[in-house]
Amino acid sequence: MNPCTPLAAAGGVSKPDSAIDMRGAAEYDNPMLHFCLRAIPGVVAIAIATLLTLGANHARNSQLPYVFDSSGRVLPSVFHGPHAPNVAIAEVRKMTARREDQLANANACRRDPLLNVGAWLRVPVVEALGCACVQDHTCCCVGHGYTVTYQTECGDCQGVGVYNDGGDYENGIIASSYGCATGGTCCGWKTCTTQAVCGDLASVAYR
Amino acid sequence: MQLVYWASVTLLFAPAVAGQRLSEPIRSADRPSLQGLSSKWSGGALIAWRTATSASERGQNLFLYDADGARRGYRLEIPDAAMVHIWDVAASPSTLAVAAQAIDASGTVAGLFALISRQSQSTTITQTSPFEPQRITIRADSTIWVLGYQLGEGRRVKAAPRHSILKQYTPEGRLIGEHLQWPGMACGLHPAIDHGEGNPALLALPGGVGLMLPACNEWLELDSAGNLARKVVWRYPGTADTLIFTVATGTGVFGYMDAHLFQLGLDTGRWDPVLQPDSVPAAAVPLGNDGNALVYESSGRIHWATVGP
Repeated sequence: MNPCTPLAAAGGVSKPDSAIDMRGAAEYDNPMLHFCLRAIPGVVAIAIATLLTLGANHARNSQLPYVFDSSGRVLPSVFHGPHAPNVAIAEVRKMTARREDQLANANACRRDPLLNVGAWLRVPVVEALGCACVQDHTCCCVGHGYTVTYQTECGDCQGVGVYNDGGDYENGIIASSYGCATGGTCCGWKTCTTQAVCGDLASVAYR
Repeated sequence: MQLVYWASVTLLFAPAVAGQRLSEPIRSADRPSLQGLSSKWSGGALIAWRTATSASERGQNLFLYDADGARRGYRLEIPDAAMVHIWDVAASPSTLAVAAQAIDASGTVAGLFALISRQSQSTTITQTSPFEPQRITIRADSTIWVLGYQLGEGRRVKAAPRHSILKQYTPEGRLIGEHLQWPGMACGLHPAIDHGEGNPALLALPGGVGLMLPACNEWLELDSAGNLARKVVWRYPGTADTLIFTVATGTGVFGYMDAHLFQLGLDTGRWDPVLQPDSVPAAAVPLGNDGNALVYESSGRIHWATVGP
């Protein structure tokens, strides 16, 4: 007999009228009933543990990550604890809003025979979010982070260089890989300097 | 005239005569369509990922194609992030390691790497800020190595405090080693940053890790404790000026630049062109290594080959 078969159904001792009273269980003579009643809290605990485990597995399957710092302490999110220097809120908006356009433009740039931006984009590149073609053969790359250009459009140098590091430039003209800054003109892959217009390679001074 | 032409051709290809040659493909497979994705071969699989994923975009941003072509998709989800950038991914038979960055709507930047179980897809994240991972690899002993940088106020490189550019973690993501101090290694703008000099790489080697640092024109090998075991100072061949991709097999270190595959002379610091077999007329673009085999793509196909005289 299944030890947990209801005793009444099994022809065992009759139950008291009230619901099961754990305190009274020990007074019953039937050791099987005693076992079952004593086992109920354990069964409940196992069930709860099972549900918790299922919940944890569900969380894992939902790919909600566990976040730690590098010493192994749990963090509520990656944005708690120390963080890297911020980027401007406006630029976050631009990043999120323009990404698809940038990717589409980057695909167009893959055809660029002169500046080889397509090959450059084929592999992960620090900071590059995408590029666009300017005047058929010059690619303007819009990135973020330390050399943010954040142009509204390629060739629009307004605001460019705000986050630039200020290094390795000549004559006050910023010529990063990704764009130009105040004093410079236009943008391109290693071609930012004093071009009259983007793509005017005659006046390009490479970094 | 013919003599001049012949001499020119001879000079043009002369270095290749003494160089290495790609074997006929040992194995080939169709390459899946990976439009808009970065890709590499790692851990016995083709890995592809979306570099930037905004919170509003649904769907997966990381894909793995097993050797048999079976595709599995993953979503690296960072709660509260307005944008997630994946900079590099490496795989072992059991784990995907992802070097990434998360930015919330207020502009807060968090550097991180994620370890994703290939089987269960369970994910753990190690927040590394203010260190920002750029490249990642998994060694055979399951330790995680990360190449990255730290920035200063205004996200300026040159305002950054002293920091290590290479960090070593346990398989659970705990920091156990820091190597190569910046600005001690301040060649270029920063060794971990591609500022036009080429694409840095961090590769697992049998005895440690290898670092290709185009900003420094250096290939470094570190042992498993992080001690410098080899340093090769190299120079670009011919007109090449940007190293696009680096692969290390058991037989050498290879780079793709100027639409050609080259092998680095570890004794000479010279990049020698690797000749392709006639059966592969289009450029062989390396994806990674599979043991001693070089895995590359050409004309929409993935090929496995060895490199030898």
